[in-house]
This record gives sequence, C-alpha cells and structure tokens, in this order.
Amino acid sequence: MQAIMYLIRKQYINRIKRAFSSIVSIIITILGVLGFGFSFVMAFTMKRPIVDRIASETILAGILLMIGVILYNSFLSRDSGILTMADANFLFTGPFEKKTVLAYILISTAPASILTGFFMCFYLPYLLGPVLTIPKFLVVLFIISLLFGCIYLSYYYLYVVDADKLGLKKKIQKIFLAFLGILVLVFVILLIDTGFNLKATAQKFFTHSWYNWVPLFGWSKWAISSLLAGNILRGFIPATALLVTTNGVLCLALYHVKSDFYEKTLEDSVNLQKLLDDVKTSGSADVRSVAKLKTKVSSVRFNQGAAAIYSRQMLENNKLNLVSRCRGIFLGLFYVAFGVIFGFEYRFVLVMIGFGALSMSLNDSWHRDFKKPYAFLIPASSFSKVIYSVLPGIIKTVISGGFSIIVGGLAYRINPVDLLSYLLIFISFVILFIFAEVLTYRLIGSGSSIIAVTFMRMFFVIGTCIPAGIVLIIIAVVSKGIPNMIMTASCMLAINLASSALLAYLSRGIFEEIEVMDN
Amino acid sequence: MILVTNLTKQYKKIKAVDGINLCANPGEVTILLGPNGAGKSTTIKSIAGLLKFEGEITIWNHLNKTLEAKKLFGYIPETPALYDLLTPWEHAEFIAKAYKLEDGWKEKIKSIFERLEIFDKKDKYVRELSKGMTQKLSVALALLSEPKSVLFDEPLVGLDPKAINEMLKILEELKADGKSVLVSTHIIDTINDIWDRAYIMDKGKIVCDITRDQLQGRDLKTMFFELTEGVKECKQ
Repeated sequence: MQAIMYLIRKQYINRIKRAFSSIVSIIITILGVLGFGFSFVMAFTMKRPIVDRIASETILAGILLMIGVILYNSFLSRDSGILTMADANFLFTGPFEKKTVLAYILISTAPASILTGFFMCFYLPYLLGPVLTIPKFLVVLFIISLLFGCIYLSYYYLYVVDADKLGLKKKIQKIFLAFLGILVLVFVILLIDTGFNLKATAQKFFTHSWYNWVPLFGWSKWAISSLLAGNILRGFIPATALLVTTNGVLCLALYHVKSDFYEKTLEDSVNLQKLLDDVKTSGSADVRSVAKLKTKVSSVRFNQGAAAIYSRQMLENNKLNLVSRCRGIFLGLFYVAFGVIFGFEYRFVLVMIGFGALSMSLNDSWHRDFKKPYAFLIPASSFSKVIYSVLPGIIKTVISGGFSIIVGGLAYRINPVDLLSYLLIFISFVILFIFAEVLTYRLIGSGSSIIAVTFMRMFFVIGTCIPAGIVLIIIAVVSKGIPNMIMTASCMLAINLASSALLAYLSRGIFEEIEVMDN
Repeated sequence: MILVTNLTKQYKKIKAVDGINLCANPGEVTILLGPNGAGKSTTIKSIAGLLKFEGEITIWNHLNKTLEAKKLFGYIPETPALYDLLTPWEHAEFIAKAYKLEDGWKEKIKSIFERLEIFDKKDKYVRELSKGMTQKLSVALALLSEPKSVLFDEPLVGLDPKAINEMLKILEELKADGKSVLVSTHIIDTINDIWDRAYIMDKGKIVCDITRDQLQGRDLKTMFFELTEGVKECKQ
C-alpha cells in the first residue's frame, strides 16, 4: 500500500513540477492560474442577475442528466480501459494483491471526480446567480464530485465484473437505455399534458418532486436545489446521504470483487495508451484511437501529390462508425434542442454550436501526419502539405457545425439571408481557428504541456480575429453603420481566409524541419 | 525454476498456445524461439500472470499468480510500459517500496544504471527518454529486486550494440548466480552463444525442445528454419 500511495503522490507532484519546469512554462502556468482565478473571483464579485429558481433548477438538472448520460453511454459502449499500460505492467506483475490493485483504482477515483466536478461547477455561479455563495459553491462541488464518484465507481465495478461475466456490460447498457426510455416516456406524457410547450414541460419534469428520487441525477439535483433554497433537513441531508451511501456501497463492492480482470485490463490498456499518446502529442485525445471501426471495406480515390495526405485521412475517416463520425452533429443538435426547450435566443444557440464544433475540432487528428516520414518525403510544397493535412478536419467541422446551424435556423425560423450570413461567419472562424492551432503546433511543438498549448491557441485565435474586427470597424465607419449581414459576413470570410493562408504559410516549417519529427 | 504444464491459451476462436510444456531450470538460460505469431509472447505473458489460461504454471513451486511467486520473478515486457511522469530514480524507489527492499537498494540501482549507461538520466522524466533508454530502464527495474527467475520478452529489440553486449553479459551473470532465465526472442544470432535450452514454437505448439549438448554441432538457426518452415521434424 505504501508503494501505491508513493506512486499516486509522485505522479501528482511531478505534474505540478512540470508546469514550472522552464521560464516559459512558469509564465504560462502563472497566466493560466491567474486567468482561472480571475474568472472565479469575478464570478462571485460581479453583479449577477437573480435567476428564477425554477429555471435554474431545470437547467442544473438538465446539465447533470446530460453529462451523466454521455459519460455512462460512453463507458458502457466502449472499452477504453481503466488502467494505463504502466499500471497494468507494474501492478499485475509486481507483488501486489488484487485488493491492493483495486485500492489503487479506488484512491485514483477521488481526485478524478473532484477535478471533473470542478470543471463542471465552473459555470454554475453564472447559471445559478447570487444565491450561489462561495461556501455553497464548495458544497455544490462536493455534491457533484460525489455524483461523478458514483459514475466512475459503478463503471469500474461493471468493467471488472464484466471481465469474468462477459456480456454483463451489454445487459447493463440495455437496462440503462430502458431507464432513459422511461424518463423520455414520462417527458412525452408531460409534453402532451402541457400542450406541447417544451419549456413548461422541461420545468415540470425536472422540478417535480418525483424527479428527486431518480437515482444519482435526481439525488444530486435535489441536494443542490435544497441547499440553495435552504431546505437542509428534508432535502439536502437525505439527498447527500443517498449519494454518500451509494459511493460507500460501490467502494465496498469494488474492493471485494473476485473477478480476474488482469487480461482484459491489459488488453484495453492499449486503447487507453493510445488516448494518452494523443494527448501527449497534440494536447487532446483523438476519437480515432478508440472508435469502433466499420467491418465493411472502405475505399477512397487517392489524389496525387500532397493531396494524397487528404485522401489518406478521408479513408481513415470512412472506416469509423457513424456515431464516431457524427459526434459533432449530435452535439450541435443537442444545443438546438436545449435552446428551444429553455427558450434561449438563436444567437446564444449559435455561439454554443460554434463553440462546441471548434472544441471538437481540437480532437481531430491533423497533427498525426506531421510526424509521419512518408508525409515529410512527399515531393510537394510544404504549404500544400499543411493545407491538405488540415482540410479533412476543416470539412468535418464545417459540415457538422453548419448542419446544426441550419437545423437551428429552421427551428427558430431565421431569415434565410441571415442564416447564410451566420453560416459564412461560422465557416470563416472554423478555418481561422484550425490554422491558429496549426501555428501553435509549429511554434511550441507537441511535447509542451496542455496548459501551454491551450494558452497559445487562445492567444493566436484572439490575435487572428483582430484583422476581421478592424475590417468590420472600417466597414461600419465607411457605410456609417453596420451594413447588411451578408456583406459583413462575406468580408469576414475573405479576411479570415487571408489570415488563415498567412498562418498556413507561417506553419509550413512543420514539413521542413526534421526536429519536429523527433518530438 | 519456471515450470509450465499443459499451457493452453485461447483468444476467442484462435488457439494462441496449444498445450505446451516447458521448464526453465535454475542456472540456465532457456530461450523461446519462434516466428511472429508463434505464441511466444502469449506464453511469457501467461507465465507473468497477465493472462487467463488453462494448465498450470509454477515459479519455484508457487503458482504463478500468487504473491509468493510474484516476489520471485522479474518481467521485462516486449514494449517498455513505464510511467511518463516519473523519473528512472522514482521508478526504482517505487519498486523498492513495492518489494520492500532493504536500504541498500540505492547503491544497487546506481550500479545497474551505471552499467546500462542511464545513470545520468536518472532524474529525467521517462517521457523525455529515447526508446532504447526506456528499454534499459525496464531491464534495470526488473533486476533491482534480485529475482530468482527472470522473464525477458524480446529484450534485445531497440538496444544499441553496446547495450546488447551488456544485456548478454547480464544474462550470463544471472545464469552464473543460479537464476532461471527465460528469454523469448527471434534474434537467434545474437543469443546463440549463451543459451542452454531452446524451445522452438510454431503455431502455438512447441515443435522442438533441445539442449545445447543435444545439438551436437548442428546449427540452431538452420534447425529453426527447417522446423518452422515444415521441412523436418525435431531430431535430438
């Protein structure tokens, strides 16, 4: 046990040390921490509008349910592993009892839950308004960490047991889908009852007392809303007790499990390793590492020269199953539904779709070709190689985001000309953002910390938006006011295309300097 | 010693290892030869307790998955699997704690690191080391606990010529110390001078079990090709 604790402690300490390993890292870390700290302090010191209790409760419950469903569905449908290759190698062959290995998994769950909880809670001060004070925020963080603890522990338990009783995970997935089916059914009944008023239905559904009894998600919402409403004795305490007890039961169940899970875990650690390698390479995980591949044969017509890079990536894309390929579309459609249900404006939905699509573009694998000797040796200009490497990512993001924007536009009955303008603006920023990422890679390589990569990306994206902003101001001054949307959008597209071309040109060294391949 | 009795390992429809028996005696270097996909790594992983299998495997008379057995063997995997954010020295400290080693472990690992020429890298993160360095570190860590049996899965892949020489010397020393050493490899030429017993595997079965004395002037490499290409049967 002493060795296990040493291992966990050292890994966390070294992570922190790494953030201070060079002057650049120190500056970036300090800026990152200050940025986070500033946003956090601002969230509590700035004047926040009072949010309607029912609306905030509904939004909170909706977010908790959505994240829980996404996590469970991803855990139950994929074998992405629970231990890394190093863990599997040392813990399974070293002088450790199975219980010690399980204890390692259990102990590792706590920081993971708190960290996930923290990222989720980050926006809550804005969503819940002034009623969420700092002490209450900390309690909410604790509640949400308990929820994630339950999710992670139940997944680990199922994973370990499934190693012996093959098929258990599939059965549980069916039960989980049936559970969701019941929730959907109840929602539909309420929808009919409210005369197809989505907002009223969502509020009735999530704020009804029976929803408090929905395992995990209902309990969490019950605990938080009771805390905010001051209903401690009859709301907060029983709900929290339910979550704490479930965590305890799951810990005990996992610690006492008898299954021989080493082989399956070792096998799946390869998948997890691929994800970690992707994070190490590009600062994000690539879905292709663990996505299920189609069984039928895929083909593509290979183009010549640098365009062969594009063809290769498209071939790889074609081999992914539909769900993996359409994740961006699903997310965009979710934002549209979310906006419609909670009565948000179309512009808000548009920003969410854009933000979601751009975030997902971070997980593309354009960087993979940068390190490949075959791409390096293709007899074509470096500039064209950069363009063709990135093109599949741009097309994918444009299609997934564009589709959601159009669906949203139709749902909100947006004027077609305005909708086209929104599309053009979105496309222009997708191109700009992705080339800003490429330049980040060019300048700081792949070995840098995630904080450094994220900071540089933000820096470049903000920097490259300046020309479009200047042009917008010039147009406004010249035409004495903002001209029509389509003209503005076209100008932005032209400027952003020019900026992107400049970024691509500056990034061409990726295919010229051999040291990049040594990273 | 490592004793494998009637080991069978099936992956869904494929029988990777089919009822094999083998023994790695103390004071001997036993090699497991075979083409790609012959079942060598599966055998080694089964012995290391990483896989479920049918049959029985004992290490110095303890079933291989027991704590007693695990204290007695060292395992060097085919691909080094190390913690990116730990330094070589921290890895060694972890091993020292895991195996509850005496205070002298620091001197011991220092001499192993120096021998494998990675002492100057002891405070670097593993993610900053080259592939060869991580392979050397993997070997060093397996030797730190002074195991009575050592399992090497393709130990020479990725090493430079000097490190290969050092590795061969280490194998000889382990043998001289009375340890049982089991090496899975397909690089016959390099290991030709140090082996004592060879098992040649093909399609999940052992097609030849031969000692150096039984070879009687014949060439192991020629024999390997004859057997794995189905020309001859093993003649001892």
